[in-house]
Amino acid sequence: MFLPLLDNLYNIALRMTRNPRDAEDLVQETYLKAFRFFHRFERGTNARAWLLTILTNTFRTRYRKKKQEPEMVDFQAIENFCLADELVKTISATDKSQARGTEAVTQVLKDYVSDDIIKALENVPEQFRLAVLFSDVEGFSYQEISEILGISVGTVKSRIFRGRKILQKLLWNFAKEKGILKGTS
Amino acid sequence: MMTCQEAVNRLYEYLDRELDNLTAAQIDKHLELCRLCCDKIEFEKNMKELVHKNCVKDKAPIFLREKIQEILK
Repeated sequence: MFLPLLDNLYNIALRMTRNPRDAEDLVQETYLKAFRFFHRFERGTNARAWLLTILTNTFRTRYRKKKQEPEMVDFQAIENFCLADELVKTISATDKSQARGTEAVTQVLKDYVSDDIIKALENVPEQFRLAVLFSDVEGFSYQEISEILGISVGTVKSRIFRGRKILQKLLWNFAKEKGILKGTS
Repeated sequence: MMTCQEAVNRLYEYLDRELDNLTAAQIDKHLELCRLCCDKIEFEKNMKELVHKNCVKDKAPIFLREKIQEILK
């Protein structure tokens, strides 16, 4: 029942710890705890949510203080940041032939390589990153995420929203740095 | 009729399937008529998929899998 979830846990652990060695340790410790506390697992409930809760708590107690988290200051004024809007603005300003930027905007998303996405994601501060991961990667509901993270549904909602905005802002910065957009580098 | 601002405000909840049926239907209705919001939601959906795609592609190393199998025995 727990073994098929190994790759799920490993992927989340990679994004949490941001390096394979710590991810391996974290996953191993999670399984050890799950085995030890198996009597507490309620049969018929979501094994994935249970394991990810253990993973999250283990990560928090063990790895949180180990590494410097990204600075928060840069992300104060991004509530209304929308990558799509920025891209449309830039594309229509640099290329008049693009009447509507939609296709071009979709193309820009395709131009990001996997490393860009992962790097951006890993630079989203942890509290926001975890909420986004559990929603986008694991497909949990806000209610489930609130139980895993031990926070209210309202807080889950705001962390997911904020996390996505931060991610978009970071991707926007990459696009400018790397010159993904013509005329903006 | 729902305004663009109202639709955009609920966009993430809509994508995450967190809205009640009535509100979701109001947004559907708005999207039928509003190209701009359609594009926006499409973009956010692509972003969500991009995150998903990049966070499910790794496989746990064999040695780790063997260790876990040992633990669960």
